[in-house]
Amino acid sequence: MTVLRSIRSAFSTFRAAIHAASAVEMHRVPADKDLKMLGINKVAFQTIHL
Amino acid sequence: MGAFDFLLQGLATAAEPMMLLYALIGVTLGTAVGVLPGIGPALTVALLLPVTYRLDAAGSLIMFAGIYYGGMYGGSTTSILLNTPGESASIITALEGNKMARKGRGGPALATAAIGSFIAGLIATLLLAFLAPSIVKVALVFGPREYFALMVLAFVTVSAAFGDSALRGLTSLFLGLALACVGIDQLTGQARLSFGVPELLDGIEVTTMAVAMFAVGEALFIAGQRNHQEDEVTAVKGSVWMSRRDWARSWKPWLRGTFIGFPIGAMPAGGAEIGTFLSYATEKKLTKHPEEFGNGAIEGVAGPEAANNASAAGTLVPLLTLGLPTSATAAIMLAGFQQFGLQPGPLLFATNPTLVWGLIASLLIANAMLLVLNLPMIGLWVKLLTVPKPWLYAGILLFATLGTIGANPSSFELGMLLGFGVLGYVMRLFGYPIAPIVVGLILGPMAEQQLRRALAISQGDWTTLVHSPIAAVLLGIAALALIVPLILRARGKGQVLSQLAGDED
Amino acid sequence: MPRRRDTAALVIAAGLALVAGVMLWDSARLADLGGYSGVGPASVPRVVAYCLLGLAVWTVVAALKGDFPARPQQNVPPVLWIIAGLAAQLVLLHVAGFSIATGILFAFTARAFGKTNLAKTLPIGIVFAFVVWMVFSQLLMLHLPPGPLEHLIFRQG
Repeated sequence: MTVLRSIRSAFSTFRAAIHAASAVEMHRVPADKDLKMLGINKVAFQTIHL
Repeated sequence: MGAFDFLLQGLATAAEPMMLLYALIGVTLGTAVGVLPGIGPALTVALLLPVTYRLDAAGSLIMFAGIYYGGMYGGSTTSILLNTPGESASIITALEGNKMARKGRGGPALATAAIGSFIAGLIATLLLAFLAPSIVKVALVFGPREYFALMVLAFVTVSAAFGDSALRGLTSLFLGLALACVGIDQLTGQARLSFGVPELLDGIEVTTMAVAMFAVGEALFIAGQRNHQEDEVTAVKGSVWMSRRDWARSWKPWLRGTFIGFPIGAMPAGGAEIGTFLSYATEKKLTKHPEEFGNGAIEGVAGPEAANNASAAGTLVPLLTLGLPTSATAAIMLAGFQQFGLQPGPLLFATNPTLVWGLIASLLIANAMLLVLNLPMIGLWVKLLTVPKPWLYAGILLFATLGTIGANPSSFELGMLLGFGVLGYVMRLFGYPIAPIVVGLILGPMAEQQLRRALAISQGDWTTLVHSPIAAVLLGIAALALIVPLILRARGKGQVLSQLAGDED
Repeated sequence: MPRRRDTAALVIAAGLALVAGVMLWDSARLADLGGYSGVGPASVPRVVAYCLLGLAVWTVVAALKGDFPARPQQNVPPVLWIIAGLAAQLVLLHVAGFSIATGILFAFTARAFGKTNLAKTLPIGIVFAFVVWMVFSQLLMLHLPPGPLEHLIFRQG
């Protein structure tokens, strides 16, 4: 089960990365849940001038 | 002859003085555009296409590749010192890098970014060199239907599979495909969608479109933004060099970043950004100093910077071996090949090995040049950061129109530039991705040609498209890549809603 | 977020449908020389047009559900300044030559980004554009339309 879980977690991290990447390309702050999944602090991210 | 011999031969080509000069111009320009926010490598190559029209093909392509690599280096400088990413692939670098700079550790942050980029570029370019021959061997048996399937896969992944909205990605793609139909049909010579306008008979210029989308659309969007933050350069204080501890903490993230970034660049998903996000997430999970993340952890600079360079090299794998662009920059580089009458792909490896291997080998040289350019000469680039925004964007638009006028000095072409620029602005405003429309315009005619060839061979039998196992598998993956994310997204929305409901309880 | 109707998105859907309509109309007048394959010059435009129609319908659905992301607030005047600059360059290029036309674009763009003093930016723009014209048309042999200013200095034009 742990294998399955780690695969799932890898996939959801991957998806979050893709979503975040497409958001920043459009000069937008990525969705909260994507940032959380990637371990990025939202407040810190918002200080970056996109 | 193995890849190694080819690479050595390539090095001999790339070491010719003229080629070295082209590479040097490329990496210098690349670093400059990487440092300057608002211009990326895709735009720079698009601007240079008309200028390089009369120059040497190999040299120009070496220059373009140097720009691509250089952009990845330069982007980190602004991220670290300004908290303003010069490229979208350097956004993550700003997260930890700027914190380091504020603590007076800007030097080591810049150093780990540059050295990490170098190591990643080196490993990834070697991977490219050693993988390419085997992919070429497979691709040599590809016929029209396999190529068509491959392009359909690229369409789907660039537009629908990985963006945050399949609707907007597909809309952008199909607008590109519609524009690709304009002009004289390649097989029958009939004029399509040109409404009797002679300028439209040649089709829509890829460079005009790309410059409009990336320069004009972007400038309009930035000009319209409400809050103009005043940027403040954080001076580099303290030692530029990394301490022994910095090295110890950096080398593993460099390697991990490389091996995350390379395959992601090679996948038809587009963009070096994804790898940087993944690398950051990985480093944060694996670090022994979790308390430092968010306050300037060097791993958070080292990993993503390696990842974005590795994915730049990864992007070149499908571009060179299959002729398949997986990102906007790669699509423009494909246009660069086509400008010289070259079609990247397995055949190019057979017909023009000097050029291909010279290009690959020059990447190794460019990479070494970039390390020199970006470490000892960092102070020079920091000066570039102080160019005020009005002059910067006025200059960008000047050169954007210069490229268009130089290629075709007609008011009609400038009108198209303006029209597509406004389209690019509206697309940005409503969250439509830009890469699919560019990829659609470039790949559209090729896909149509392959499809019609395949059907001509089979005398109109559509099932021929799935009779070849390779084509069938590729189309199958494309179908999955289109449908699965739609289902996941629909489910994901439900999850968010239930979560919201749960929060209210 | 409340589900509200999104008029702008509906306009986009109408635009997509319009493009699709034009493509269908254009492909109808093409002689469809399908030949052996049954796929002629009109086939692909038709398929693309039908897909665009489908996307237009999808956009309408998304607009009615309010699925579009919030638009960033935009300042309209700077955007119009840049568009005006590009339009001025387009109109003046062959009349006034590259340097003057492009200098106007330069000054208007700088205006959009906050350099409001046109009396200062316009000369800077024209001089800069002229230097660029010299480099690119005289050294790199790019054909950039000359005007009175360029003829004044390079008599041979």
